[in-house]
Amino acid sequence: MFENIMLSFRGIRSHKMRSALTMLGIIIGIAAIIIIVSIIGGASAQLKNEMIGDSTNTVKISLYSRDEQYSPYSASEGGSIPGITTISEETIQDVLSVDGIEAAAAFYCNEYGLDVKYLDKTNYCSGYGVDLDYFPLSGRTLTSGRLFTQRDYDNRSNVIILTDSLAGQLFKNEDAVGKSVQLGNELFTVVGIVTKLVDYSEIESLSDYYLTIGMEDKGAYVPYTSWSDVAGYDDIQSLLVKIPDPDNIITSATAASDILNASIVSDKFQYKAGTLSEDADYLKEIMKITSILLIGIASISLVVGGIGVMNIMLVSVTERTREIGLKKALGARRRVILGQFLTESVVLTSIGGVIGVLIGIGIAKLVGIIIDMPTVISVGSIAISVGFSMGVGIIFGLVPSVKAANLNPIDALRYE
Amino acid sequence: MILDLKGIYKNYQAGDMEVPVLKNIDLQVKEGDYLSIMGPSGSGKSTLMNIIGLLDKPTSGTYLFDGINIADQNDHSLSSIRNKGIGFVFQNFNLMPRETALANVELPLLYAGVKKRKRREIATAALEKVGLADRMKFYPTQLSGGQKQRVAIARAIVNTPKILLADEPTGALDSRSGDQVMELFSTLNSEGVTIVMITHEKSVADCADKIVVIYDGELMSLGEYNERGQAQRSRQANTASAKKLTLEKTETQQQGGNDNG
Repeated sequence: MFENIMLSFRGIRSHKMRSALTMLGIIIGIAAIIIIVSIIGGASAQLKNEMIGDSTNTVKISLYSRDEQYSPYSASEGGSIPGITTISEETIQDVLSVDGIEAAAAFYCNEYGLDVKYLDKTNYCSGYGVDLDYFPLSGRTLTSGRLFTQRDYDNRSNVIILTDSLAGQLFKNEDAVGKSVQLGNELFTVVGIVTKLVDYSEIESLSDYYLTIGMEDKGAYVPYTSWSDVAGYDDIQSLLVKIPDPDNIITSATAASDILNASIVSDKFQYKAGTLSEDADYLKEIMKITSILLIGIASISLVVGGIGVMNIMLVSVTERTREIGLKKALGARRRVILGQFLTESVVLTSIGGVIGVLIGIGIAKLVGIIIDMPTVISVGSIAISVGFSMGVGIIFGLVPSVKAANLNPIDALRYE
Repeated sequence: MILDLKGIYKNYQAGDMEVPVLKNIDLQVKEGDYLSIMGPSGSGKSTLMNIIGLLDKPTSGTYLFDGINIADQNDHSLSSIRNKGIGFVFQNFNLMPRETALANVELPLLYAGVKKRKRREIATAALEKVGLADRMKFYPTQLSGGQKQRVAIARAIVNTPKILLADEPTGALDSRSGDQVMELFSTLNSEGVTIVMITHEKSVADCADKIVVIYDGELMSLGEYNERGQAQRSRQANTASAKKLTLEKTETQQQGGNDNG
């Protein structure tokens, strides 16, 4: 085997130009497949991160109107909704017992409906009343100051944590930690600044998606015990759940929503997971079809490359007819001759495959930089590509190799 | 008995016609024999060589190689016999052009499944035997004709075959290199190697202990061939002289006629 491979390398080296041109077909095919898979993989990873959740795999379950598309927050403006109560500790325990759910945190939320003031500056923000479990789940990380402590909850302290973009707008270059801001009618002391780890979004449709990615990330967090000072009411909560396996997101989130719905009495509102909208599925489906189509086209070039390999292998067999005859006379079995030519063909296409993978990765990275999109180069796709090019070598090398192996030794020796 | 051929016929298909190339060949070669098969071109000697070398199969007749009936063997075991039982020496050397002398000699060992280190050892010894110890790393293009043929001989004997089969081994060589090859053959034979050599040159054939002649597909002894040749020559001579006589006669008649006219 090793000898065959060395022999193949020597054969390829002795026909550099011919081998390079033959490989070119395979190189182009494999590079095209790698580029397509990497870019589409990157695009869908981005889509998944931004639409379905993020790498922390958290899903927000919120209250929605049953029959209309408006948000419960506007419906509940100025007060509570009859039949809807705070999410109890028991309900959270029930949710945690759902298969696939690792953690859950209830929180109050008022999206982009709050004014926040510092000295004479006023800005708007989303307000959240959160518990201790919220930050580890939410995909936000502390950049300065501290997070809340149990004491803040026990003392109902007026402490607040701001997102870095909100703090930036209010305080410019000043250090925000230790300053007081007014949220609602109360003054709060800033204790920490958080930043987005990755984009945790609350998205229900494509239009929301485009709206949200254009929006600034302005949020203010207070302990849930202080929420009533901010909002004036405290009964509508959302639940943040962590579902590590993306494949479980739909089923687990639906099960959690059902548990939450069982805890309320309302024919107007229901809890729904703000995730995996049909739009997102549709978009993913389009991507899938596109990638299958593109890979199909790239495969055609691979087949064309394979035919090139077959052609050149047939030429090689004819050229080496005498050599084959001699080897047979010296006692080479059919299998040896078959192995020699098959190895040569596979070595040829494998080199092409490896070069194709390298070129493909290079171009995919370049395209990713140019159009500013992440590319996902999976080990799997590389392995499959190289494997595929080997397969092409075997399939298209088989006919010439069998032809060589079946040559009659005297005809081969007599060949001029 | 290493070779035992009985009633071997070989026909070739030429269009609709079956052309007989070998007719009723009987040939026995014992261990240690040194036999020359002589014959003019077109006599069927290459076909006989191919059959002996298991590169071709006879149309009919039985061929026992070292007691094994060839007709019963499949492709796999024929390869194995060619590999271990027969050493080929060709007129045009047939060396692998991209391999060194050593690698060429190693080739039959490779097919016999000998391990790399052992292969190198045996092949080196074979090249030393043919006097090319200092040319092992040379490529065929860097060797003279005589050297190339000696590499080919080293390759032929490397698996210590039952028989060395040579087809016009001196055909492509100058007389000095040819003599060297013949000397090498004699040495090998004296060491016990059985040799069957095909040639059309009487001087080369004379190096062997025994000479047979193949003529028009039939195998005969040198004596028979000479008798037959003599008979034929005299027949041809007779016809020729008869023709000459007739011609002379006609000419005189014509001349006479002219004189008369």
